[in-house]
Amino acid sequence: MYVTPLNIWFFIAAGMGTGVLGAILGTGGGVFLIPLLLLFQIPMKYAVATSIISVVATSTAVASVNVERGTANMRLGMTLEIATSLGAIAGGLTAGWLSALVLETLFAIVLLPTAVLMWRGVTESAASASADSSGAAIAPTASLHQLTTDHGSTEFAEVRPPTTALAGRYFDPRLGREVIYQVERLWAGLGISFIAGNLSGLLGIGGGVFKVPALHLACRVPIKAAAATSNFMIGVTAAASAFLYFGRGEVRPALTSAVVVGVIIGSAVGSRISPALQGRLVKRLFAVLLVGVAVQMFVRVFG
Amino acid sequence: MNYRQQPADPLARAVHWSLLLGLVCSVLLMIAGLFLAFLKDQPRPTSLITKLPDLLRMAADGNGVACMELGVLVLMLTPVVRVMVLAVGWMARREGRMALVALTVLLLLAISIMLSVG
Repeated sequence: MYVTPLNIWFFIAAGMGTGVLGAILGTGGGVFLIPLLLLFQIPMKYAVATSIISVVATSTAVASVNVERGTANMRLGMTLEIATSLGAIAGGLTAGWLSALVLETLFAIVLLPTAVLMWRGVTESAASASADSSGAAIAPTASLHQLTTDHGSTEFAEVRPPTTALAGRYFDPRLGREVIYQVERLWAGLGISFIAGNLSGLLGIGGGVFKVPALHLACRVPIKAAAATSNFMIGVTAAASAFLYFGRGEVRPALTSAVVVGVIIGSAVGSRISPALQGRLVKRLFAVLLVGVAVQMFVRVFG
Repeated sequence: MNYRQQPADPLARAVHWSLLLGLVCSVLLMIAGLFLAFLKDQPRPTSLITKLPDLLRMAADGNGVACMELGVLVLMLTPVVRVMVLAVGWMARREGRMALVALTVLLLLAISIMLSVG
């Protein structure tokens, strides 16, 4: 299948859809793009290579916006990038040892409980309140912050200012206030980041499907900061894999360029609409996404 | 709409501009390559252009595929540049621990590039 002036619009549209979803959900979008390209008879190895380059583009476009807004936690992201990069290199090296069916089955199994946790899990406000009541002493400079619960009621809680090197803060325009958070259980984040990087090296995806829930549920990072930080990290992880695909000659310049142009347009649209979305809505969209990807993988493995 | 209460951190701005510059350069090269390849109806390549001097020369001569390939390379190198910017920024601020973290990531990326070449 060659890219022609007639079918190029399909590839640009596929890239646009991938970019919008990637920006909103904090993923690279590879899980959507690869099935779309396969539908258009693009061979798997070229589809994966195109996907990993588009993941770099999504991350770069969205991260540039999130870094300026202060939503992405660069210190946390860079720390976790050690684990994702190690995982990506290990994944690339072990890709030839494990069967793709085994990997896809494991991937689908892990996605389902993660989707349930994301759907029913703690909200941004509950996470903050929980962090405050976890037993640690509250710093003298703590201030009152207005929190909105899942049920729409309003309450006030004392929120500690950032006290550790990896803690973060960002201004949430929807809440109209600054959100301050601590990072808990960093080792859990590092472990899951390693697995995400490993899958990126093996399957050519960004790995955001693992990192966003891990940062939110295990490290107690608010969902918007988790998505922004995940996207910030994905660029480096995907680039590490992309060099391997490029070295093997699996990157098709015209196909990749068409998809990347679409991804950039889609990412710009997604970044514009993302701040106006509610954290709970983002989580539920993410949960639906996870179930969809899991079903798709089960069908591919057992169908 | 203002998305923050405080002015952006200078290091965050440097990262923002490094990512934006890399992205704009790569996308412009890709768009130019697509137009050149389709408008001039240039022949399809049988393999990637692997030598950088050849790639630069062909792109300068208006070869669409070379322009697209150069755009892909610039895009792949953009996150690497971002890590370099953060490493230098944290070193300038004497934040030794974070600078070491960034340098470790750079080392891992260098290993990945060497593995792909070799």
